[in-house]
Amino acid sequence: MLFNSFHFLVFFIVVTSLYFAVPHNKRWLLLLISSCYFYMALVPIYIFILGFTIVIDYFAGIFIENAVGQRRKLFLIFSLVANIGVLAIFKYYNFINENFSFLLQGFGLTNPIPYLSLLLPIGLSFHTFQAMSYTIEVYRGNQKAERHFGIYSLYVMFYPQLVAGPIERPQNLLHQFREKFDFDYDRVTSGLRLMLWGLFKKVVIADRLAIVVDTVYNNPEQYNSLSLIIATVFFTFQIFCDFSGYSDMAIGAARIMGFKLMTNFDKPYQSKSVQEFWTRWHISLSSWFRDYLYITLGGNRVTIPRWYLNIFIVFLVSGLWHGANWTFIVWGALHGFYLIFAIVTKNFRERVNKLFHLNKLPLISVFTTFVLIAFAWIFFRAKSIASANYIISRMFTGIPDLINNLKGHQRVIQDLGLKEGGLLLSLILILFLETVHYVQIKKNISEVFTQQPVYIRWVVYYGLVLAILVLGVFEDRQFIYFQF
Amino acid sequence: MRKFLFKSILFLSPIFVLSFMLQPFIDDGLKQSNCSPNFIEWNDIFQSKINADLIIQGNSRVRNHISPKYLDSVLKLNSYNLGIDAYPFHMQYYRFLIYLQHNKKPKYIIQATDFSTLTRRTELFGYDQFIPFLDDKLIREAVIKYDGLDYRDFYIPLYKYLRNQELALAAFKAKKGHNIPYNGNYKGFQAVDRKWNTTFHTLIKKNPDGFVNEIDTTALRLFDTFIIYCLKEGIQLVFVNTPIYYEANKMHVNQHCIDSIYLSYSQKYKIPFLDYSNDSICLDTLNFFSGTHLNSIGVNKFNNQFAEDLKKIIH
Repeated sequence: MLFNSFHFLVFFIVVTSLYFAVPHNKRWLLLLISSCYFYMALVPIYIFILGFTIVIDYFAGIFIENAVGQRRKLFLIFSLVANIGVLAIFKYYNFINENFSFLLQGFGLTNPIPYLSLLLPIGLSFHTFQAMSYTIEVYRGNQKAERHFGIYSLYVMFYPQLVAGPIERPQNLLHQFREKFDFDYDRVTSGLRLMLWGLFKKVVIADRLAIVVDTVYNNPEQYNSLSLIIATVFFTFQIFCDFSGYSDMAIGAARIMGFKLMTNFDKPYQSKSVQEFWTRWHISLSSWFRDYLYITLGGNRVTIPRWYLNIFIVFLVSGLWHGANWTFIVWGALHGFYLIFAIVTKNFRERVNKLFHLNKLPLISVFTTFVLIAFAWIFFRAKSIASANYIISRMFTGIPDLINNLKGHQRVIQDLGLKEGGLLLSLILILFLETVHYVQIKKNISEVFTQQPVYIRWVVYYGLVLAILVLGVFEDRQFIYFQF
Repeated sequence: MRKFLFKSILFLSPIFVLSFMLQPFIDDGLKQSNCSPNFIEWNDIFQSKINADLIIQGNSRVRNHISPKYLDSVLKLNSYNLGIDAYPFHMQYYRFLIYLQHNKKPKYIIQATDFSTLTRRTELFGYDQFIPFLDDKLIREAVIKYDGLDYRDFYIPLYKYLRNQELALAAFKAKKGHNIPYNGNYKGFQAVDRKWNTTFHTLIKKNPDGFVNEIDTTALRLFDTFIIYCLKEGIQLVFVNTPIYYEANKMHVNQHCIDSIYLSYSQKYKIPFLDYSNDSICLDTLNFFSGTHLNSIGVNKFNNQFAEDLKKIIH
């Protein structure tokens, strides 16, 4: 069920109320049953796939801990193969098969391997990675194997973060299921505040911007340069608001019950470099890749060419994690290229910054980073590489037409699917969002806000609720990251 | 926890109270608004403004094809077109029941009997037309059978406007007197002044085997109930199968089965059946804007003939 649905609202109220009503030692059971219900509300039969990987990893964890020497590694490999295998079948099988067909066609051969018509289980990439982090940490000795099957199952299935993260670590989450959390007024209101903000970002900003993005990106040939640029910028904010909105709701829902989930987004578009961007965007995933892939490959403790290769591999895999399409791989590769380029040109850029005192103008770095990120998002959103290439070329080649139209006092802003005033409203919302982020850099808004008198806080709450009711787009749009 | 519950109730109460107060206000505004002819027609039904001697029932084919202006001038009656776009008999029947609840019983009913009348529709088409009237039991009973609106729209205040904020805006504008000019239909009739479009030929290519229109047993049962009611109340029924383009007619492969149902009712209950599906109007695309709908040229030709044919039956 979607977080922005009535069904979830009822579910959340019932589960949270029951959570505080049941004895502490039964809470894990309530949460596990609720999480099963939550997952099965999407596609019921896929609970068996989740169950399969839970059973494998539960026993793998115990066997790894009990075993010695090479057997420990064997059990880990078995667990990782099982998890990646499930992911590969459901997510990548047809993609691999398609490319295999293409390769064979080059030799005049046909592919005998059939395609499978499988629906991707919701959140597969997320809970698979979370499960893998468990067995890896047990192997590394950083986490004791969980003996309680129910608690381990809950670690994988905990409903607030089951379908789109944050991808948690066992050291952070597992022990929390045994702790007793009493009802705490400040913690609960803080969680509700975060959920309200997350819902605002999703239904007011993300889903509104999605109207323009879908209109333009579904038929880019019909749109001029300006429309393509607007749609790209809008997508940049749509994906942020959609994903961070979901994360906020997940973290807020967990916080209400007492659970601390990791922060997943930290004002990413205020980053002054692409490297900084990756410490602020989808933090749980980027830290997962850093800890389990990048460091395993050797990180930066290798020769320089190998270091660059490690970075590139991590981002290629990250791209692939997002989806079985070359567009995601190109997106990942672009980011890998950005980082490598930044490292290679670091000294040169520092000299230029010093020469022109650019350090005193952080806005230039923020803007440049934003442009680079937005450019990469074109590949993330486009249906195909060809479509992305068309969009990029049209953005630039269409500029002379735009200028001519402006000179001829002709209309340059096309119908982008929004109602009257919709474009202006969207821009105001983006400006509002980034203003909040900018202020958050200077001050802890949360702390300042909670210190305000109740009437000011309630005015803000009512304002957000009113904005959601009046400006919210309620068209059953799924969260973007649910498809991963 | 008590502090939290108390503050929650305090916070949420104004929202609920305002929602309960706003909903009838918005519903009322929407009923007054001209943003769709559907609201005006439903409003006329509920406000007993019709009270016609002759009503015409059917879907969009009736709505676009049969003009009360022609009928009124030839038959010297007050007629009204109750046709409702996209719906087979189930919704037509409910519209009729609601009409009866608020208006005087008609003397005559022209009932469209075409390939889709006795089929079943799952999706609620043009659901916004029902939104301000969801407080009516018959409307709720009708729409719940379709996918589109459900108990949340019926019972949670303002929930139905969450997906339809522009309707709420239109309602507020209407309440403030800023209504858009009424550009509506004459007594439910909606003329379409368009030329033949070629998408029909694409439809033929995509569906070389044609369509089988499955008869819905609920629709058949309601049709039966409707006929018996009309007979009991002394309402004269006339079945009409308005013209459709002859190639579109060929696509409905079980049309003869469907026609035999209407024919059997016609013979059993002595109901006149005017079937124009093989009329000369059907042969020329000049008369149509789509495979199944007449344009204004076709409507003129058809209504001239239909009014005269009806005159022989009614008088």
